[in-house]
Amino acid sequence: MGSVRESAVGIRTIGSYLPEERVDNLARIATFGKDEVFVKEKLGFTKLARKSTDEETSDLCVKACENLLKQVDLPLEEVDCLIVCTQNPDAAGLPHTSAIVHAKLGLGTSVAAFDISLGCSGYVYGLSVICSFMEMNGLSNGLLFTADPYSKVLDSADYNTELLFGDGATVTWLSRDKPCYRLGRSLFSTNGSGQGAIHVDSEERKVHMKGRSVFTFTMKVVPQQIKACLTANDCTVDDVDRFLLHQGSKFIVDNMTASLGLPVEKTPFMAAEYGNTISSSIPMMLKTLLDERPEKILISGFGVGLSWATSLLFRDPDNC
Amino acid sequence: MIPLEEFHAVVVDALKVVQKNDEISLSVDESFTDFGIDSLDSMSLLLELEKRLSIEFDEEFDLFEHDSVAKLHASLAE
Repeated sequence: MGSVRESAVGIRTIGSYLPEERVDNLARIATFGKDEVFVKEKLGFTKLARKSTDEETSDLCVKACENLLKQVDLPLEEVDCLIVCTQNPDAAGLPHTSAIVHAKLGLGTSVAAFDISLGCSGYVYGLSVICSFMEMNGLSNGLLFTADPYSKVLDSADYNTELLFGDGATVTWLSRDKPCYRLGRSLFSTNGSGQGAIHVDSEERKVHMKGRSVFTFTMKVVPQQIKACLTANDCTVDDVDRFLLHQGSKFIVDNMTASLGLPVEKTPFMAAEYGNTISSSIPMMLKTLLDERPEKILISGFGVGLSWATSLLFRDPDNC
Repeated sequence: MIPLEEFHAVVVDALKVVQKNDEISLSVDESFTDFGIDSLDSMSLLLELEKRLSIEFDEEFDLFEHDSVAKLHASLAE
């Protein structure tokens, strides 16, 4: 069962970018018929990060990469592959955003670049994809980007979505050399019959969400997968230092924490000041935890699809 | 469907879990809205009731259209 953990490729570090502009949810609670307690204690998002209208998805990725390069010495000519996880790509998604990021970063032609179309489960999927791709092809350095700016598809009158989503991007540097965290066994699930729970309509290009369907799905299936993932990695709840659950809302994180009987201090909610950033929500948290160096970190993403995925990250004590 | 009195007890027990409060008191005709149930609590309550009663609410089901224990019971008995 330990074979995946022995993968040579792992997470070296993470860069992120949040636009400076914020939408103040508390300033508009009356518009949506909500109160302060509801926004602070239930939704959990007092502010939402908003990109400017002329900022493209690829720009968010590039800024995350620029921030990464301020932290670490990563010669871009040593990057072998890049993946962008997004469902709100530049323009209409053609060409793929990863090609645009590739160009903006000035990478060479020997670099593999492709997109992954996934929402809130995307980071967990993406880690497995990029690690496998790098292993299979003997690559040394890869960049996994997440950037899904929902502000492109929000309906400003729909409080089911308007109060939730923030814009942002992350980039995870995967490396064969001195990885800090190695990926354990991951579990992936899909229920395509629930696709209507979160979707963008083809006419108005606005996102619609059936909140109760998403909540019910999350509470019914994700805890099972988390338990199964712990078992698959020969771990118990007590063995894990942090549970990084997708930050769909504080309400979902709190309910899942209670449902699984997890210690509250192990299941952070960190998105109060920037919102639900979809596939970026887990790496945003992971980035802040890398300095603390917890031994084992469970990550679980769930949403659009319906799709859910869970994995365990193991610190490599030889490297960090 | 179980009798109203029994259903009332199930709803109150479910509400104690949802609101993390063991001191809850709710009459059969009291409005969920007036009681302070918000849209997110309503999702938790329906999920708790599904588990406790082995039923499944339609995904379009809106608790606030059946805004008391008595009205919710009546809707389930239909």
